[in-house]
Amino acid sequence: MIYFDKYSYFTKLKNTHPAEKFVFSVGSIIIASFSKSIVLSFCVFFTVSLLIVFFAKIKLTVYLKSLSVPLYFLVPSCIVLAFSSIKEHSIIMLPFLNLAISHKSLINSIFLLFKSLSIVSLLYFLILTTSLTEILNIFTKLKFPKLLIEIASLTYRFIFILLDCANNIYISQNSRCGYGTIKNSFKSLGYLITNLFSISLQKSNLIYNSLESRCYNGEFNFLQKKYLFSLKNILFIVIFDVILILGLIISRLKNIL
Amino acid sequence: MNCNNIIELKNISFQYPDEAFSLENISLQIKKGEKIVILGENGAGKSTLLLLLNGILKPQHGDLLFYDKKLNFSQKELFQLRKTVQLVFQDPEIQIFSGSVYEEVSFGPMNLSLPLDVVKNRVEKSLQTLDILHLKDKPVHLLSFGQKKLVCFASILAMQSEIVIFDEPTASLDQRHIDLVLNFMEYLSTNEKTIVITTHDIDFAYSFATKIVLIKDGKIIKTGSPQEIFFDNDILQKINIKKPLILEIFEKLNKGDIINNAPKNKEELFKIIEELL
Ligand SMILES: Nc1ncnc2c1ncn2[C@@H]1O[C@H](COP(=O)(O)OP(=O)(O)OP(=O)(O)O)[C@@H](O)[C@H]1O
Ligand SMILES: [Mg+2]
Repeated sequence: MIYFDKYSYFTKLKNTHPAEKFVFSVGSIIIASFSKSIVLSFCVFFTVSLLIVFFAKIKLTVYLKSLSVPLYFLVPSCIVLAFSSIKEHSIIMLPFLNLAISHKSLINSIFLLFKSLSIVSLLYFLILTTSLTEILNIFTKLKFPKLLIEIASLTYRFIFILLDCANNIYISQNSRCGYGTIKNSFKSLGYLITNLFSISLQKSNLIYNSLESRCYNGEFNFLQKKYLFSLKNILFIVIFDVILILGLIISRLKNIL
Repeated sequence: MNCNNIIELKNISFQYPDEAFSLENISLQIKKGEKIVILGENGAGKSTLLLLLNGILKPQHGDLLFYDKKLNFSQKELFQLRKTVQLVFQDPEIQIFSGSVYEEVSFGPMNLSLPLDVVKNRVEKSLQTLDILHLKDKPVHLLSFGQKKLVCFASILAMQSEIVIFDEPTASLDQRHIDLVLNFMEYLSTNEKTIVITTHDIDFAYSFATKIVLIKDGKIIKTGSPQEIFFDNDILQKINIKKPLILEIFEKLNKGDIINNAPKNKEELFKIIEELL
């Protein structure tokens, strides 16, 4: 799961303009977050999932696995939300705890689940089809502070360097029985953490050398890949979002009526 | 005095802040088109010497002459020096800082303030030269060690510098990648680049170098042509270096020390053997 970002290099949409994917995802997230209807949120979740699996050609198992991560948090919290203090129209009652699930609170928590899922799926659409470097490029174009973007892009690289280091240290300790007893485990873990600190300090010094030797002048400038806008995709995004807005209005009107 | 040195180190001394290791009284000349191989044991100070050559480390004593002018280590001078001298680090893990191959390779040329289309050409050409164009969109952390090494080469090649320095380019590579690297060296030298390499591959050093520098415990013990170095048995023993296989065979065949007839590579050795038969 940690190498999550590799999928964006294999999808069918990797040559699509990142801005299109970004606008689709973020735009739809904004609209979808106004939804107040289960049906609408479910439809969004369902269509976006279809898009991810059949359009972006992300494997279903991969997608389901990635969905399972937020579900670990979502499902328990929705279950908790479904409970309220006992009232007359309850479906399930736990009298000894003075808790019950009413029809309304049940609907509410299911709605919350699907609304979250619809937004999560839209976010996944972006993450699974667009590499982090590309997303950061968009932020650059949107005039986000350069410093933040540079920190983010360095962090992205360093996470993997440190992860590799930690992994190697762990394996080397483990292969010499460093985690055999509880006492040893604590000791080894201590070494691992202190080592990781000094290694990260040393590596950052060394990497700075490598930047300097390539004439680093305090700013990261990269050549950015050229992408072509596609009229088809833009039309699709517009139609999708218009339908979403219409759905939003209709569902709201119905609620009012 | 020779006037075609690109870089000359004059009695340079350098000590790390923790004073555990120092390079002492180093003098070295690098001329255009030379192929210099630096040999020495682990920890002899080879990598340290290379870092001095492009101004990453600043010597405490002695002068670095750049095109016969003393370098004062101002930002502007360092920029010019690094534009001319590029260094491929020993460990690709600490050279690559970007998450994507394409960005990594474009970083150096972008710093030279070249027009964008020139940068693009250079990046794509160097990726092509090293045969890794297909990796250009891959995230760096998914590459193998050898592939990372090739990315480092590409990012240095894209700088199109006069001098290219390699710190153990063939270490921990498989035969195919070693051949790739060696071909790449030949490619550079036919393009009239000046090359400085550290390596532990004696046979390669012998057939590739025009000049060999022996270094031990932070001092240069001897500088000379491959023949001068590898027929000097005392020195070889002192620095724990084996004789190249080609020379060993040649010596056995000849039972003499006709230095000037020594074969440079396998093909020349085969010719000599055929004549003897
Ligand atoms: N940043 C540093 N700070 C202090 N000492 C260092 C530093 N880098 C290297 N050294 C020390 O300097 C000495 C020479 O190291 P160097 O890396 O130059 O050796 P080397 O000849 O490249 O060896 P190898 O063949 O193993 O790569 C070593 O004893 C090492 O411990
Ligand atoms: Mg070294």
